[in-house]
Amino acid sequence: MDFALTDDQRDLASAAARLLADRYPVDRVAALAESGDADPDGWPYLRRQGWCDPELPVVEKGLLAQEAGYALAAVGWWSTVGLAHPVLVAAGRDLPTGPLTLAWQDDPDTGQGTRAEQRAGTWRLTGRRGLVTEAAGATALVVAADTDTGPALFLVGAAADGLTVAPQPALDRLRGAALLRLVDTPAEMLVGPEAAERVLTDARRHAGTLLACEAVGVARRALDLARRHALDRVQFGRPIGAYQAVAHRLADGYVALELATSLALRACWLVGAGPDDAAPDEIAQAYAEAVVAARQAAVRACEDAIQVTGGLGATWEYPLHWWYRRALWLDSFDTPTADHLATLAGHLLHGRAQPARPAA
Amino acid sequence: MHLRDTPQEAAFRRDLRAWLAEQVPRHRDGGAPGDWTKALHAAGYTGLTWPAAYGGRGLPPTYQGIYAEESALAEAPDHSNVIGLGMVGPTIVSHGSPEQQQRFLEPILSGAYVFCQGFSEPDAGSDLAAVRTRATATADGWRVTGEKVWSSYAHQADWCLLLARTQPDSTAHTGLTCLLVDMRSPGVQVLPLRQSTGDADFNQIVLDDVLVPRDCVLGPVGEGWRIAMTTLAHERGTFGITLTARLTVEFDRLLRTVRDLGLADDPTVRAELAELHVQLQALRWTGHRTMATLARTGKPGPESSVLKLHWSVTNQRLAAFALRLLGPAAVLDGPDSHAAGHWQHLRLRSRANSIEGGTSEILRGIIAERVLGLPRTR
Ligand SMILES: Cc1cc2nc3c(=O)[nH]c(=O)nc-3n(C[C@H](O)[C@H](O)[C@H](O)COP(=O)(O)OP(=O)(O)OC[C@H]3O[C@@H](n4cnc5c(N)ncnc54)[C@H](O)[C@@H]3O)c2cc1C
Repeated sequence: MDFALTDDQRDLASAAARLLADRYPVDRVAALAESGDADPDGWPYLRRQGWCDPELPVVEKGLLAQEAGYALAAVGWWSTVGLAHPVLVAAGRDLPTGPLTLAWQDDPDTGQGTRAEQRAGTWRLTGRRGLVTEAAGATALVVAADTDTGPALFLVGAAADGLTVAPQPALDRLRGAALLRLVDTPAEMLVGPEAAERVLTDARRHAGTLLACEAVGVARRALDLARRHALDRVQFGRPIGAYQAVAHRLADGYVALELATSLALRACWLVGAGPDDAAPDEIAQAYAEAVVAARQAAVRACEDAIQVTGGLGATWEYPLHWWYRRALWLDSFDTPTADHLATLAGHLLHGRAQPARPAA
Repeated sequence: MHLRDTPQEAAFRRDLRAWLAEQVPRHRDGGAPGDWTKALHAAGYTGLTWPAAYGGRGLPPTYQGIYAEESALAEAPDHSNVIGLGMVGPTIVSHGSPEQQQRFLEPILSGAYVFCQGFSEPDAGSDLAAVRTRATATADGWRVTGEKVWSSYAHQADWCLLLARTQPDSTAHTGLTCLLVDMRSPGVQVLPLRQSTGDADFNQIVLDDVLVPRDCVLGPVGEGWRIAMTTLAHERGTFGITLTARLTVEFDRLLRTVRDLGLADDPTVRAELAELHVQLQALRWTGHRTMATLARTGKPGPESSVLKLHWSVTNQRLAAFALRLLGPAAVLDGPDSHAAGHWQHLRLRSRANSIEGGTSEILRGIIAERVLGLPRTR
């Protein structure tokens, strides 16, 4: 067993951190978030840096996701590489060069989904998809739709007939949320009903594992902001970090961050190892464990940071709330924490629980 | 990064597991102190990471991790020489004279010398540098007088690693020296202290004009603080892995209790179990990360400081939850109660977890200062 980053992995992470720190200083992040825009040149830039290389192992992608969460990089990298690429790979397609996203959730407002019908050899989609991430900049969308024989996955061009992408006001403006309306929109089938459910589950798990890493990055940034403030801000004649109530709160946040980091990296390794090296149950549980721990660490770190930064931390101008918004988005997106816990309890009490004991 | 045992590690684990399955039942009900060490030593399982020159096997820390994990999972006897093997031995390897290495290391490995640690005093707990036990120079060594408390295993120990003040009028970290004290020396008195559980496995040590020969000074005179810190660093090394593995055993027992009490379908019970499981896994994998950092760099990384702290939180949470599951029957204890009072005992014992080996407040302070770089809060 060697649960340590290799030198190459460490180099990759620090290069990514430098690159994002250059490109996304805090005021730029705040400005992009205010306007709700993605960085228009960010995508080709990250592509050139190799961030979309289909050969990147999951651990490496997880390290990039950590840095993206730390910097709050305003690029649709996660939706593309995390969500959409796995579907295209499963479908045996070449990866397009533009940013993508994946739409599979119903419109939360109306509960409406999407149906697919084949007419004259062409698939046509009608209905809605909600809570679609990073849709604004996407050049194409992977859309889940129900056929007569079950759900399938389709590719829809951003400019396709009958498609409207309506951005909705969202808590996290950088990740965004869009409502898709599809009216007889032509689409290309990527994965048919025989495999679509499995492919979608795998893509969500892959993306969710990267989000656990992103959450770790968010937690680390919030802790850094709080730490900086605790060193600089003087009250009663001392830096506030010299008071135990402040210092111990941050120490506990650090504990939560380290624990979550371990589970997030482990989940990356297992998801990347695939079924030959890891049992499906083990992967499923490791994923749930990582998501639960990382979400909690991110929310907690941001809330602690707000407390430690005092009135400043409660303002719009102080940038912390952008990370807090991301943490809250991470805390809610896709499978609820309660469902992850229920999955784990199921494994522990019924099913063939993964032994907490290592295999001998 | 690789999260599976190497073929060599897997073979080591397999052999160890088989050996434990055979040996643990024989040793379960105790025996003389040091017996378990002797059995381990005969099978080659002591000093796994110690250099071969000192009787060790020179293996990487991952093997110590496997050993810690497997022996906890096998519910191996609590090791009366945990202080000798885990803390004092490595300190002698780093700071002892060649004669001391010759004299102490082999008997520590073989279980002939059981050690205790005499650091804490009535007025020096968290503030360890306030140690007052006095050692005055004699013609051929030191004469020691003072009082130590909370010394685990002192009633079974042959030797004590003692922190004493050798320079009168010195304060705080200066003027302290580490001494290797023969517990059978005239003037050493060990008085058992009873814990809130009713157990008596730690002690008061009263030292009254105890003579310690010069060759039993460990490290330079006056450098005792630095030596003691080496010892404490070892305490927080692989021990986190042992603690976490023991927590895994408790968690398995908790699952049995949940089933036995017919609570396996209760949604609030299930949610808390899952939360505890996540904490346990987080500790486990952080332990593995610590081990890997140790193997690569020779020193534990910053993530190691979280293990003991979060272990105590989780063990306490588990114990509280388990006892609550018993409902009103939790008021019973002993043979009539569920699991023969196991949960009652754990609940009481667990409260010391955030005190022993450095209190949680002190550990948070260490993380804040050394890891986060915040100012000193004391
Ligand atoms: C089961 C058990 C086994 C032990 N085994 C050994 C052993 O083998 N050898 C040995 O030498 N010692 C041993 N100890 C002693 C242990 O290391 C001490 O109990 C511990 O360091 C705390 O010291 P204290 O008990 O004097 O408490 P104190 O230091 O008096 O602390 C009391 C409370 O005040 C808090 N506190 C103190 N200072 C500060 C501060 N600056 N900031 C914030 N809070 C503070 C503490 O966190 C604690 O909550 C053992 C203890 C236990 C419970």
